[in-house]
Amino acid sequence: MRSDLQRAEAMAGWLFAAPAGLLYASFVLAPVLLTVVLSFAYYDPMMGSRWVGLENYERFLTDPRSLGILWNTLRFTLFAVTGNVLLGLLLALALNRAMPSWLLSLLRLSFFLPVIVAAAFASIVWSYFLADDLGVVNHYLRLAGLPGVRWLTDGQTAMASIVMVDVWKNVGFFVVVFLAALQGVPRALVEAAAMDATPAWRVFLRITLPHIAPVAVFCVVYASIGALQVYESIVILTGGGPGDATRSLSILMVEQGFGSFKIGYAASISVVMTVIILLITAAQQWVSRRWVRP
Amino acid sequence: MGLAALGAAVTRTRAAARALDWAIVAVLALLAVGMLLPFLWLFSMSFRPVSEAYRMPPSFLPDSLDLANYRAVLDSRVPFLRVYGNSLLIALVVTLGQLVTCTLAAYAFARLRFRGRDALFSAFLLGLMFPAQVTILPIYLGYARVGLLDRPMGLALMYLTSSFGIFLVRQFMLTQPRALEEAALMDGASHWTIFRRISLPQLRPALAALAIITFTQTWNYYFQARVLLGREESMTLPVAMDVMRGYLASGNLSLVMAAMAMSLLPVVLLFLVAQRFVIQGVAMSGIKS
Amino acid sequence: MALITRRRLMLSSGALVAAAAAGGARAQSDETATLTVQTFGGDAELAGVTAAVARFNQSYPNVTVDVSIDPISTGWGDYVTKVLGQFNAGRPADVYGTAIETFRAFAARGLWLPLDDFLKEASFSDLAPSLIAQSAYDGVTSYVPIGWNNIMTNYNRALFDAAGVAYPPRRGQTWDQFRETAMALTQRDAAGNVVRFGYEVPNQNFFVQPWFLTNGTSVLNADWTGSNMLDPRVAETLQFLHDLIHVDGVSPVPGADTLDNQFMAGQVAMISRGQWIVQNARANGLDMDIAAPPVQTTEATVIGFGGYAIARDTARPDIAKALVVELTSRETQREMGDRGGGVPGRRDAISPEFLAFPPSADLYYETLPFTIPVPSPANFQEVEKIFIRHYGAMMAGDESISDGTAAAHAELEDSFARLREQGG
Repeated sequence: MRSDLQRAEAMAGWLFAAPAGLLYASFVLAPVLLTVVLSFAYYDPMMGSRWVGLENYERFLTDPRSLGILWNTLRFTLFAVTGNVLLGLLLALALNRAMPSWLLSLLRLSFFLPVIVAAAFASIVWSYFLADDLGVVNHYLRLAGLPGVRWLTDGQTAMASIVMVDVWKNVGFFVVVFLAALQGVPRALVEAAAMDATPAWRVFLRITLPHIAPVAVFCVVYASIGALQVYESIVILTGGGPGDATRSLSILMVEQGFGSFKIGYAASISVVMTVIILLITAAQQWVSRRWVRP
Repeated sequence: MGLAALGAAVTRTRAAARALDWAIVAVLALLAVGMLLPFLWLFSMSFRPVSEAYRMPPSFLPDSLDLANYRAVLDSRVPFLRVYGNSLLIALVVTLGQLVTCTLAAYAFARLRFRGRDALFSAFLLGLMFPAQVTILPIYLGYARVGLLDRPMGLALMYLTSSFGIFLVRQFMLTQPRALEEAALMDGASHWTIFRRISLPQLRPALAALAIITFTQTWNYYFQARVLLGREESMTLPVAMDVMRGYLASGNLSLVMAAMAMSLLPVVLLFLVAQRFVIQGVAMSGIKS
Repeated sequence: MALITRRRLMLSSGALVAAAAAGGARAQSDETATLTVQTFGGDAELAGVTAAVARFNQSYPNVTVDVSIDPISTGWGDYVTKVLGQFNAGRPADVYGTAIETFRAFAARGLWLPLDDFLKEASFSDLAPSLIAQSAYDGVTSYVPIGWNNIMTNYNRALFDAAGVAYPPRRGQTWDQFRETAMALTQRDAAGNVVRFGYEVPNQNFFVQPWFLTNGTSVLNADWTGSNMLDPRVAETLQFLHDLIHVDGVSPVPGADTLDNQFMAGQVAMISRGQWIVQNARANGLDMDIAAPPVQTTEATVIGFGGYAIARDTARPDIAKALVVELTSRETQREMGDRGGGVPGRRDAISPEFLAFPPSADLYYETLPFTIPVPSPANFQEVEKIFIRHYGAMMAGDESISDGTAAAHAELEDSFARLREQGG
């Protein structure tokens, strides 16, 4: 039997959540469902729409081009997540020591500044830094006697370059998160270990890591979701090229939906993107539950 | 080992440890400068004409603070001030909207008990996983039908609430003591009063963090803005940058740099002034998940 | 042109003055309406269209004209989508300005009012007939041509002078001569790194077309219904361009960006562009001139042009037509041409100012007889993307010429097959 109080609380609960809920339903849930619906159609109001069942998905899964792009996206995600999380952790470990607070603030600021600048802006600047012959980076490389690198015009290097720019842009976020996590590791334990002359790596592995493991999992999940959606950086730096070397699913989706007006096919691509995100997130949750002590 | 020898050994290790510390800090400082180089180049380029752009060696500091490029941006075909205003308006409306809707919802999830609460919260969490690409198509088609394309408020409408915001505020609320609220409840105060008088004031750090993060994110939106806002009068700054780069990126590069420098100003200032909250907010979202 | 005697000149100028006077006293109309115009372009087009609308309003003071100009910063595909989106939403503009690349993509969907009779009117009698012919699809003309652009070699005279190299001839330079010129203009520093390039091998579909045309071939077949990528002359062209980059080292590898800024800064000596570059060149004080693209077997260059169309279901076709007359008038075309908005479609809109910069500006019209329109099938966006993708990979050396042309051919044929299925 629900008391009046409980009923009032339930009412309040739904009322408080209503504004967010309505907006969420209209601008997130409904569009997602509609996209799924669109993915089963050939949509062109002027030339005639029709249902095509799984045709769009079939096309995606049998077209070597789209499979290659899928593979690019997965590779990019793997590299970017590894780079962002590992480097973020390393930098946080480096920052986690006694230093004047103004210095800490300054360093943290420098690493975090790229996070707050628009990806489009950052990529415009980087495309000049990474130009083959008149670019800044190659200039200094050649000054040092090394050959210039074809950062954005060679298929293999281009992938490395966009990962590099992505890490530059996002590592600051993970530095901040890991730093906060590291500062939550009980001092007493670490100092006790130091007294016993435990080597630093052991301290890290046995004491620090278990404490920050949940945070690390969060970082990996967050980084993955972000990496799978990267769009403007790649478009501005390489346009997806050379050829399809750096093209990601988000670029393909925009190209098909807004460039070629193949709405149904584009919808199916975005559904595939979402499914991948869900799978990766689920896998990471499973890993965290099995290997990470809460 | 004799006490003196032990003392010496300890001092040596401490000295070594300190030396290592300084070495690490030095490397960090170098890396930090490296992180900032693109910004310096941007800034320096915005004060130079295009003919200087590709001068080698590249210059990271401006020779003079000649504002010619900045003035040219204001005179260019892009209604820069109007676009700036659009970005500002959209960012403010979205920030305000999220502050209101996310806090209300967070209160429901953190403080109230009702059937379906956890399921509803999970439903919201799902929203964290949907990329903009999967929601944009129907919204674009729908907006086209009702005439909401090329309207800055159309873009703002999409983001008046966010799963991330609800998540952040809820997590923070869960760490706050309930004593005052429970006392007020005993006294027969309504949830609305409790929320307004007691919970809200406690939430300031979280709200500050959310506001700044949301403002910055909205300020930087490119993909969504490009799809929904085509006309120059309704554009936001990142999209306008495309226009400034001109037909196939042939536009004057220095003007683009000056425009970008002007566009960076609000978010950088905001960050400098309130970095404590941003850092806290970011850390909170990571730690408490 | 017939010999003009002094007397005839006096008479005709008298007639002109009279006509101008009569034209000044424009017929005023009381019609009230709101028209929307969706077109494309940069500063020049903006100025030209605004002025045209102002003149239009002298005759139609109660008609409000709402103008929207798209800068086409990301290619024509997005513009097509934008326009189709407007039609799909039931909110199309009344007058559309667009380019030949998109003509079929739009016309095939039956968006436009047929304009064959309209074009027979006197006000259009001095439009180059080839342009009008190209504005027809399936026997129906839907576009009124405006300005056009052909691709020429733009070169920096100051750099040529400094290097002691003779300017390229106005017409008739061969591929090999071009290559040597480019090599002479490429500058390297002590370590052997290039600090100035002789040429920019283009990264855009429109800019690279002349290389195929001057070799007597093209990337698509003659009626734009299929691929021609397997033609050995296509491979020959691609190999030549590839060698310019990797063997002769006169050009950087084409990337995502064009090198206009570098050209303005004097770091590239020659680029292939159209008349629109005049805006920037003048603004940057560049000492620039043009020459016809180098020839291998055929003297040719590519032409692209714009046109105005009227939406089929527009509320006021008569007023829309009057607006189009103004938008394509002599004055508008002259103003746009002077500012670098393309070569005027009307011969007599060429002004002394237009001919003043670059020094060989008369070459634009001189080359008109042997221009070939850029291939513009109904699936143009897809075709362009497929071609550029493989072209980019081939120029970067990531794909061999034989692999690239074969792969492009397969994808193009696929795309055309899909187009035929859809009845396009």
